[in-house]
Amino acid sequence: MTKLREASRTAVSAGAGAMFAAVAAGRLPRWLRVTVVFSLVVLACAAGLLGYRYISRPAVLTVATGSVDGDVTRLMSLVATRMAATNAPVQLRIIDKGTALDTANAFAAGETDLAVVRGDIGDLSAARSVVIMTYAVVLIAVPPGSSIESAEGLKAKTVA
Amino acid sequence: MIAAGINQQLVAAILKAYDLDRMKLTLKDLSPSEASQALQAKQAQALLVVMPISEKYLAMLGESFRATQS
Repeated sequence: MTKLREASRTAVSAGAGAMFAAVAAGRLPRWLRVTVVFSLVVLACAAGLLGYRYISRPAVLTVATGSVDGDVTRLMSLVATRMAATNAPVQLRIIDKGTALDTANAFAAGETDLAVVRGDIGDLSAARSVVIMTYAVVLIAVPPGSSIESAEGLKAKTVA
Repeated sequence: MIAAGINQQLVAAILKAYDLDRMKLTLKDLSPSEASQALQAKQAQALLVVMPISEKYLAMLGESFRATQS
């Protein structure tokens, strides 16, 4: 099988070489030379077009997302759709991981290129910030009329 | 508190900063809907959440407290 493949490759090379030699030496009829040159030009254009498309194709990055209310995934999907619609050189593929913790773990495991995560969750030692989406704050909130007015007021209380 | 798994480190830091360990503070891991019920039933006196300060999330927080008044 390998010998047959080698033989066919040699035959094709020999044929192409003989064709070039014949065209170069002017031994072929004029119409055939025109056809061969035209075919070569078409082939070169097609190869150039394919090469251009290959070089200019967008880089696709995977993004892990996840939140309890699904807002992060929805927002990133909108961003990804917009980038795809405008033929941006970088496009995003959203991977919904369900929760923020799973998102951080997937990113830390190298499953995705990017992730929308909180800075204090999981192992993000090798991560770098690209965009800060929002600032989250910690709130200890009490119902209206509560006697708790400071951290000291939380003594012997239950925090949900 | 909401989503204890995620907020573990944060809560530990808060407890340490405010010395809440000594105050016999009880922390309950609840979902948002359970937290609202716990406040309503007076099983919890405060709510710890980590969220962006946006209209949507503040409204959600307000909603859980409105339920305690009704």
